[in-house]
Amino acid sequence: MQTTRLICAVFLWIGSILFLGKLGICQALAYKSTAAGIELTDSDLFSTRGWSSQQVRVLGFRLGMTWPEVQEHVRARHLDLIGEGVPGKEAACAGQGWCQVCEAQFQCGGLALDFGMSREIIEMSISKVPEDAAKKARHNAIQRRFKGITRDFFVQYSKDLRLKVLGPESSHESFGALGIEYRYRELGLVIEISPCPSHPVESPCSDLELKFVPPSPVPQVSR
Amino acid sequence: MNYRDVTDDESRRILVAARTDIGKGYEEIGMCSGFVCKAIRTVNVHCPTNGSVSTLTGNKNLLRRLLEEESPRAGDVMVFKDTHVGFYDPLPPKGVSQIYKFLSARGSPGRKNNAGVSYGDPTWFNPLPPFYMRAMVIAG
Repeated sequence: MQTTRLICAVFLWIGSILFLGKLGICQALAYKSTAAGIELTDSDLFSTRGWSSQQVRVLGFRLGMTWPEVQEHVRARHLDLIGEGVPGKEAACAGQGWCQVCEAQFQCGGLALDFGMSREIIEMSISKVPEDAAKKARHNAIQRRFKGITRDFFVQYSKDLRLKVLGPESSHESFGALGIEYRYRELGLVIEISPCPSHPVESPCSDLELKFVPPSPVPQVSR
Repeated sequence: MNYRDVTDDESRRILVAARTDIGKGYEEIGMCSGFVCKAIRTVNVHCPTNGSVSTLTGNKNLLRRLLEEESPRAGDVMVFKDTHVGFYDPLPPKGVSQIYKFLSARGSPGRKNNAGVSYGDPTWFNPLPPFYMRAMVIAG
């Protein structure tokens, strides 16, 4: 009897260690997942529930990344950052204003970073490389590496798809013939659309730009 | 006949004219070189609106290629290796990405979804950097 109790106690002890250990592993994994964020070239962001721009990673870049972190990341990934200036004659990125992310010289896939006053990333922009772009530009387009619905968003964009994936916007602003901007404050997402002639404003041939910005709570409307 | 570069003010007028065509389609505007000439005609009526890119860029009485050390200014013409032309606009209007510094007529016959006159990222049109040209007018 005593032996049986002893065996049970040993099993319980081992079991609890395994269970707690598993819990620990789970917590570690959960932490890692949060810390790593949602990389757009690995995961389907728009299929993820409850995401916000703070979790978004694009080629490893994230909002709030400091200039030294960016520099280290660029070196590690062998990327090139091109600063603002006259197209074709741009200076190297200095952690100020807009910089385009390129994987080689003149091979920029549509990802741009905006740096704030403290030289941290305050906005990440992804431009859809359009169908009429040069073959090489289309080949380099970062949107080609997106997954699932996130990729569909760039290929088959429409108002219905936007509403189905993201729901109604928090606000929007029209710029006449230039296009329209939809803002999703809680997600930290701004969508800029430039229409193509003879098509609805929001159609697959529209030029599209997704901007990830810090999320902000939607102001409550008082009744 | 002597020709001179357009002034800053004339360059601005060209760009203002080009911006009025934003949103117009291929059927209305035609090829990219026609769009460029249509805007340049506000200062030089001799610009033909039915020529090809190479006809336009090869006409020494219409456009002058900027030297490497010269800085392009708003309203100068950006040329992508004789395949596409449009205008350089360093400060695109509100509602346009600040990276989209190139205003052009995008479209070709037979293509289904022509984007028409719109702003875009210059890197879309050719992986190689563009060169710049300045409109010319008759001097005096």
